[in-house]
Amino acid sequence: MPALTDVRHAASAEAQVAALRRLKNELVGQGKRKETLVCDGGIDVVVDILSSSEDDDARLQATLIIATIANGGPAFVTPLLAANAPQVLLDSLAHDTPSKRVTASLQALRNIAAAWRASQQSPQQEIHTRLDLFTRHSIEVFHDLLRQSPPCSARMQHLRLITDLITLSVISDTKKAALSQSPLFEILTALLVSHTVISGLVTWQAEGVQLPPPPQASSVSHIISAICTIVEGSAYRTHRFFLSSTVRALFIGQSWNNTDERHLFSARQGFANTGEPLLPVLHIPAYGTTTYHYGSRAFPAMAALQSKHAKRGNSHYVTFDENLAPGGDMDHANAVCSWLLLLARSAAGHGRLVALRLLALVNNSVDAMDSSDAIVGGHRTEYTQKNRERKKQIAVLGVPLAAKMVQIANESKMAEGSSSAQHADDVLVKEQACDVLALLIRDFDELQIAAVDAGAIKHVCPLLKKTFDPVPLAKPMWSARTAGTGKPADLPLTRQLGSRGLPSEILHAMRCRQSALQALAALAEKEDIHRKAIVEAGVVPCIFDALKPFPSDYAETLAKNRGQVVGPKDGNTTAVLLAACRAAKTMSRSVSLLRTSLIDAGIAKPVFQLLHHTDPEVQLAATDVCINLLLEFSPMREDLIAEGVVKTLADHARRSEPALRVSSLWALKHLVSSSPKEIKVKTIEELGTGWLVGVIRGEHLQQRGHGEVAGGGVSVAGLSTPNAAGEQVDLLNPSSTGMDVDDPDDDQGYDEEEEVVNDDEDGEVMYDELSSTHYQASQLRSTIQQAPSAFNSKRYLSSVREIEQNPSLRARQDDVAVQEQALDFIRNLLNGEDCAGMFDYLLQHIGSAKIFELLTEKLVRVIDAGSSTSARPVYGPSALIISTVNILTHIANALPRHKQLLIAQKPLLQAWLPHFSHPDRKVRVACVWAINSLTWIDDDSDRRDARARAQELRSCGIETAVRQLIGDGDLDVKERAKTAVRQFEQL
Amino acid sequence: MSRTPSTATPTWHHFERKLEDVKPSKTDINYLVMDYLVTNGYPAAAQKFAVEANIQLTTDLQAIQERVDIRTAIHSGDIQVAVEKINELNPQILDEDPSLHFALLRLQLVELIRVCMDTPGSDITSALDFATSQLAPRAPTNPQFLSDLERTLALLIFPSDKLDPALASLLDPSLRKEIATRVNQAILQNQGARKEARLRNLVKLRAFAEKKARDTKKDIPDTLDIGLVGDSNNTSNSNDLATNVSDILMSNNSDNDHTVS
Repeated sequence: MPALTDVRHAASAEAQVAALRRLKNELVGQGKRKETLVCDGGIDVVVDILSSSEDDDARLQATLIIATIANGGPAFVTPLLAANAPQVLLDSLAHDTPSKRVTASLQALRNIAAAWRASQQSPQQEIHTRLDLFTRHSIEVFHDLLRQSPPCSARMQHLRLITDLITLSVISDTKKAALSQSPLFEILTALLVSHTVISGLVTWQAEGVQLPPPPQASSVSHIISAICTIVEGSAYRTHRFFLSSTVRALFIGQSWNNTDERHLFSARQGFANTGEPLLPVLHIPAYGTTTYHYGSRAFPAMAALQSKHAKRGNSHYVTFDENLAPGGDMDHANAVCSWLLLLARSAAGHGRLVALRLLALVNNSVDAMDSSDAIVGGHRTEYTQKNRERKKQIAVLGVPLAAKMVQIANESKMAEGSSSAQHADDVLVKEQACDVLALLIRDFDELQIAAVDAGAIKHVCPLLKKTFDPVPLAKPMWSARTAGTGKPADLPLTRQLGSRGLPSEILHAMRCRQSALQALAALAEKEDIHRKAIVEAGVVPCIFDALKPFPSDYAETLAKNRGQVVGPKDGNTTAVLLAACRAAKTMSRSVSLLRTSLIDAGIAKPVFQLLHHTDPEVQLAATDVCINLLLEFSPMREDLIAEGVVKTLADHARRSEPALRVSSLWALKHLVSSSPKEIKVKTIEELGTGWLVGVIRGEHLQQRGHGEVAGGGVSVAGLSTPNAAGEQVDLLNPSSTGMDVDDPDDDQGYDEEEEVVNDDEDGEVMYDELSSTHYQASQLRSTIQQAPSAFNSKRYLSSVREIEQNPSLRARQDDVAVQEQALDFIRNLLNGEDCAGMFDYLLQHIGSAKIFELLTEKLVRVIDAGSSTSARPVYGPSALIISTVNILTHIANALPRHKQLLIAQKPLLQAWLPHFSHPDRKVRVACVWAINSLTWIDDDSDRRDARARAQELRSCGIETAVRQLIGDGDLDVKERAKTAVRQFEQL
Repeated sequence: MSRTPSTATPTWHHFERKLEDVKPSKTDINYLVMDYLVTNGYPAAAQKFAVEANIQLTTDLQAIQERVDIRTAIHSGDIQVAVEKINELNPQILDEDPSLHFALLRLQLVELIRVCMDTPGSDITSALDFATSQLAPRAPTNPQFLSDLERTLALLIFPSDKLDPALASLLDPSLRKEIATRVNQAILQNQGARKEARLRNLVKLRAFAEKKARDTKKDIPDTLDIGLVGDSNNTSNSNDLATNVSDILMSNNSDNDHTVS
């Protein structure tokens, strides 16, 4: 290129600037010329000028050239990163940089980030390079740029570009965490608050808190989008957003005259703080007449076994202590949700979507910390009521809005005549509407029903189908010469184009597909009616097609045939695979569908293939589907076993990722339920008895180094357990878990919460004291009812972080989940006709002494009463106790000699006794069932032994314990206990 | 605005009275005017108005001036300069909007052809070269581009006095104006500003409201003039009101601007 030669050999600075300007004008909008420039080594030249030139004009032109090159797409990412362009651009953002060049640099960075983001979706692994724009230094630079902003258009442009940078380039959790601790995040939040105040939605009364000047209206969606990016994936970060000082002040400022006026913002008052309610006022009956059903409608009989407060899909992981999260400030959370609803209603297009997304994130994170089942007494009703009001408001005002956006996305024609900005907005709405709906309704059956009422299925299904329409690719620019494709391999990376990645049209279809599948997965989560409606809409074949990955050389194949129409079923990006697995998982929760449409669609085979996918996330998602496909009544079980699923799952179970381990064990647990003996034996052989014993004992936990945290030689580490008073007692003993646990955030240096830890004012409970006495804990709980000032948001935040991030806590949660699945695996192994045979197998391979030692370990208290750390004995999590007792029931159901073996285990019986008065009714029921089996007389020959067994039970006090249960408040327990007592008496 | 109310329709009275009750604040109107001046690019007028109405200018005049320069270049047919100035502002504007870029380049081709036709016997090679190097590569990427290019090149074949209306429109100065407006909107949007003045939106809203009112047979006066001189002549079809009026506004003001600057 002649202009490039002129740049290289410019005689003077002026000549160089002129040549750069000419080069820039030649490049804008000309993809082919940009390619030529790269091959001619132009990137090195330009980056070199940017980093070393003294002339400001030359640097500006160089920056603009980088910006326009990056617009060329993913192919330019490799050479630009190889030339270190992002870092050079970041370095050029100094205090004295002229505003114009700052804009250009930010624009160039944004364009690189956009191209990089598109390249990340490519099926080729080798171009998944890292892009690190947010270092500690650059965050400070960005913050300075935003802070010194007088409200002029250049500054506003900086704001939009910086927020775009966050949205486009921040993916990893560590980056998000670093940003959420940074002043940059605070300023973004403050800008959003400032916008709210200037729009007159709330009158600002917090005089002490300084707000930045409000942003342009068009920047608001960019700001919200960046906030969403930072907080997504962590309840703690989301709490940091809505408990930040400015957001707190937005509502708390209303109570200057010492009255809490925040109820005015609630659903019942409709955000009425400025007089007229700004939101429709909802009439929500004080104590609801709505009955909620729990568990699956496909198994109504099992409803009794489901926890009434099972939440967020992973209730069994969540056994943490309510003292850590005493409910939070519900008035504030509700006000924030009303506020976000208001923002959503006052925006349009993508702006509305991002506001709804933030609303969903806030609601979900409040719910994740919701420990309503732990809050007892008078507080609970009001707390639950407020919680319900928020959800009702979202059901009535938020979900229909999201469903409407899906409808708009489905019906939008992408009009040709619209401006490019309008077009870009339409594209984003199309790609994200379903995803936002999914995020909003996931895990809330009430909201799922609201979504279906608003016509969600009707709009999501056609949208999904359309993503399988053939995609005509844009034709490339015509060129008189055919491009010389034979690029010599010895050129430096800065002179080689990278992979083009997937064409933007296909990426768009993939994003739409992923988003629609997410929505389907969420809609099908709880209700069988919804699943049937989805099947009737004819999208099951789409789920099947979405389970097929792209061949790894797909982008190359496409590049050779540009301008062609791409087949709809060529494959899918990883994100689509994950979403398709989720949809398959929730759809397969319906027994009837499992046996009809899903088997017809043949989803077992692609799911099995995904078990071997290279991406661990995909493996996990596919395993989760297998859990349902391997159920006893699933017609796909045989096929999967024939494919070799047992070996694959056993291999996965032995891997170290806890989530994959839990899911694989879970799937195997289903697989051995009512299976022929050969399958059972094969499965346990595949897993290895030694490994299984190790898992149940939690040995790997200690191997990984977390065991020592449990301290005091306690090998069975449960988290917490309800004690006799029904209080949750924390197991973590204080010496081991202060806030001084190594915290990755602290390394980032932005943490201002440390002070909270050592701040023990007015005798309130500190985290590390929580474990010892429940009296202090109750005090903390009671603060919910006090004036808002009593709510210490910093302290609350740190407990939210503990729950989410404390590594030993998490390790133990993971371990409890694994142990539960492993115990249940044994339980299912023993279930059925082969019970005696299987138990003999275990006796033979593990040894009777070891088995009973293991079971006893699960039942004994972990901390003795009267020990230094606890006033009362503490036992393992009830989930583990239930599983253990259920195994005892199965042993008692085997042959008479097995019964005898069990009754001979004196330490086991001693350890078992306290659980007959366990606060959890499910534990008590399980205990009584086991006694029923133990006292059962198999035949006449067993009568004498049975009597001896009863004698033994009497002598160790179990009979008395059972008799006491006749007066139990729970009907199930009571009836079982009556049977047991009758059996005792018949002996 | 005194109108003798017809006795048969006392609701007119009602309407008029309601109208009287509305007292728009002077400041609001001033801000509207200022917004118009800034958005549509009249820096000198904006500066004077700011002093007169005692408004603090939040936009820097430099930014407005840049847009004015680009518009002036397009209006005077100097497309190359306009494109370079846009790229100087932010290459993103044309990089992101191929159809706007194509429209500008085609306009440039039209101007080249115009020069050829105005000077008899001149060489058309420069126009053809430009079409080959700048427009032809883009033509296949969009069917609309291809047909636009073909139509433009047809100008070379037919004598300029016997063009059919579709072709003649290419030579009409209104094409320059139309593209200048699109460029102005694209720049504003790139800077995060509203692409149209609020005043325009208000006029559109008014036309919409009036149409709705007439569609639902609300009792409103047969003609509702907007208070501009010469307005009453062309309000026979009130549905076209908005377009007429806004065009008058536009042309009036652009005349003014030439005198001001």
